[in-house]
Amino acid sequence: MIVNILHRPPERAEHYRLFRLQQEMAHRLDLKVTLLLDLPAMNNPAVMQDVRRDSEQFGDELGIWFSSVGDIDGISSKEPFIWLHAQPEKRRIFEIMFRRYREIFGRDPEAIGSYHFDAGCLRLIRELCPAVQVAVAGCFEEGVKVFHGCNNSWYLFNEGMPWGAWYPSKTHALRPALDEADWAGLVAVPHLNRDLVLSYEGRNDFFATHPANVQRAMAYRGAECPYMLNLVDQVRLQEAYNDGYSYCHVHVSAGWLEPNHNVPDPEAVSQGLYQEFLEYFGALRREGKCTDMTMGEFGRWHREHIPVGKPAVALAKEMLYGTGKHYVWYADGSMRVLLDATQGGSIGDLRPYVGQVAVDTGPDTPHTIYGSYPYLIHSQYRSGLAHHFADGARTTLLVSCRGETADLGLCPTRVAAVTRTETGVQVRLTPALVEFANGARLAIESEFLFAPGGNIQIVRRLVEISAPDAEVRIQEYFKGCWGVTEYPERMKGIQLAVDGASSPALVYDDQGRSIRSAAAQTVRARVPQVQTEVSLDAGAEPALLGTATEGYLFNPYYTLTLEKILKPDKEATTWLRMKKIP
Amino acid sequence: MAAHEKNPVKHRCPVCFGRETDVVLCQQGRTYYCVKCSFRGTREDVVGMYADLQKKFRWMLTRFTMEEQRDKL
Repeated sequence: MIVNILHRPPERAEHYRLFRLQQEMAHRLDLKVTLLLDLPAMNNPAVMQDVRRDSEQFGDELGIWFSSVGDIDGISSKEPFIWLHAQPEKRRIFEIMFRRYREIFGRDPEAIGSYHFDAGCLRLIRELCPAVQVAVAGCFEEGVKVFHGCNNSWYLFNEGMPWGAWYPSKTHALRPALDEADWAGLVAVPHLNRDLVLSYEGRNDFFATHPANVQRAMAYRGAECPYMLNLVDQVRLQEAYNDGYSYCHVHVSAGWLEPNHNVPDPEAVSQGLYQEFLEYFGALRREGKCTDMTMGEFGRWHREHIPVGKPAVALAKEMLYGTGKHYVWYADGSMRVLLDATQGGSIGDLRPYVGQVAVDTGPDTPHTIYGSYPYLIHSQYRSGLAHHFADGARTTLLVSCRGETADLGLCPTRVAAVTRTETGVQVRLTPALVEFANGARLAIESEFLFAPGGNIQIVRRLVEISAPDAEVRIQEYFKGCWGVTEYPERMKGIQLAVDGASSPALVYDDQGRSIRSAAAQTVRARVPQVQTEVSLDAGAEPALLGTATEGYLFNPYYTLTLEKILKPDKEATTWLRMKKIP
Repeated sequence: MAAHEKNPVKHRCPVCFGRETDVVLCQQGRTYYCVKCSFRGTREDVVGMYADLQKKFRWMLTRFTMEEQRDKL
């Protein structure tokens, strides 16, 4: 594991002693630190004297942190964060802060940061300071849940991004670049690592590599907080699936080391936990299990060792509530996918990067605050399994036997294996046990291959059946929508089609209509709102039946299905494909 | 007196916190109340409800090393 530890001189003078304490803790452990300086810090001679000394004595890297930018002289908007300014204001802010850095240090920074840089910011960084190697540029899955969690007052919408370091594309900062030509020119890192289970199910700012976030979640007792170390080990666990590589980002602002309205503990507790947290990295380093780098060093390392376009994969196991449930994440330049093993391998979150939706944020853009990459499926925000009326966005397998139908989404599984192959990343689940009221009992094994270009191969195997003579019908089921928040968006204009013995089609108009064909090869939905066509492809043999169903206002989704017969001696293969449409 | 000691300890509303929303309670004498929901109670009520909320974290005090996460979970 590679760790970056970041500190920054605080905005509030009364926190300065805490910043110095953080520095002392890290230096005592001989950990490498990156200091990100905002404009008030750069304009404060006493602060500059301290950080120069830290840099000379301990090798701390000095970069820039872009916050409180609405207070800068000459900036007309009061927006505190740069990604929410209009493009001309973003340019002025960068010019002012890069100029100040150059005046002080006589060179350009290699490392900079903000909770988010949108694509407009990345273009300006490339133009105005090409020496920047690496930037803190997003907060994994920060959006709707944190907005609600902060009493509807935290306007950072960063959902749909990679969980680790990535090469941002030129058109959407949170989409990993497909290739060198698509790349915005710097390495991006997330602000903190988040629990890859709980930041999907809940607030990402409760479950992060940030002890005070865990205190904020109340997931500790007194000075006992093993979960914060468990989370570091969740990060390390990803080495097993990513050719020995994992990246950990630690960035705790000084104010968290004393009581505040979210963490009322005595400061000895908060400081003790931060000390223990840093000591763990020191211990891992001594054991050869962790390398500490400054951000600039990491940016160069990443560029040398991780090619643009390499897929990232993560296996996350729940370790706080006591379920041990499994999720698998996959991301490349074409898609980000979350598999929920507890729901039989349903896709719980699907981002069609292949559509290359371009997003700049700010008052001069149609997206305003919404920097997230849009989803086709989000089962947390958009129902997932049925609660009272109808189900929502999800995938599943419906299994029929002797007149009864079961939903694999209700059959918990676990991840049996995650393997990188020449054709993609393969995930195999433990068999899902399906029991019918008629007495029939089946076990179905599912395997997923995440392949380049937005393609997911889904293989189903009937590995056990209590009634060998019974016919088992399966229906691959994709219920999609699109959006960036929890609220439904306008669905009109989505085009549904079935390609089979016949080729019916319809244009979505909230009427609840269905089209179908026997001998179906594909069922498709073209979603112009996200420049993406999503389809189920029957593979080598056509399906018995294919359907595409339009929703209506109380059920605002499109549903694609392919039906096949599953036999013990023959696996059934289906492809979920996404491609870009103009 | 350190700067933080000037500030009284603040508590978040336990009902709102149960919905993962941070809302700082207001105080009137010994009673705390929430402006977002209808919670009203003493400090003991608040702390007791926090303890109830923490019961959902059954593994809160359990250490899982990387090896244990890989092999046991």
